[in-house]
Amino acid sequence: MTPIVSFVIRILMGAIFLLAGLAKISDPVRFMLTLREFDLFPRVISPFLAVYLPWLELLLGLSLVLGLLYRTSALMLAVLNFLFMLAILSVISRGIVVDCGCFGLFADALKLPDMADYKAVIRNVIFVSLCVYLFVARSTIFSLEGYISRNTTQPRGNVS
Amino acid sequence: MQMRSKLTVERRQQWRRTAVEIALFLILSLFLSLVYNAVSPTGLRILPKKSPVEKQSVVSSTLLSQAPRVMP
Repeated sequence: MTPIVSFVIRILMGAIFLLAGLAKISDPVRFMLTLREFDLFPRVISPFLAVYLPWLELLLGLSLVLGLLYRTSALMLAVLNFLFMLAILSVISRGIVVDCGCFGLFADALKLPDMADYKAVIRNVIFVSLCVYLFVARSTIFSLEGYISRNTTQPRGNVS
Repeated sequence: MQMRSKLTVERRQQWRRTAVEIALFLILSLFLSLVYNAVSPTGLRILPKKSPVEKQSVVSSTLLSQAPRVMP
């Protein structure tokens, strides 16, 4: 049962972060402005983060979907989401009404709510929990990592 | 005792492997983001551009430092 659940969560989380990364890569200016509105970093750092973070999300999402180094990427995504959650909580506590910037253009296209509010915090808590589950569960199906390890441990004489 | 030390060594190796993988992800995404940003038409200027006033002040201070000192 665990491998199937783990597989479903892996694909779901992978697809979410893949899409989130793509949405931010396609519009870096918007993401940079959102980061500036959060008012957490010096203005000089926000362009660098706006360029770097979406690619990190994209790579981690891709790794989850493919099932390659997926435990490490799940751990990194858990940490990343925890940091996002802290950022949103800080915005809420300062009373700043701002767009969360999580899904960028996709949120607009699908008309999804994308504000930095308590709903976003709850969503991030769920994401962190699912990522921690992926890291702890250790077993999954249909992963590239599993395929590679199966093929490398197989004795060479067995190939017919 | 030996079993426990073997487990500790295995665990340590696993954490080391995780650390290497984390570094791999961080470096690969840094590389991809910088390359894409340089190539893409919507790429952002990562380094802040110096304003003409700042440039002028740098030039004038350099010129001043190179100017011969006139002794009274």
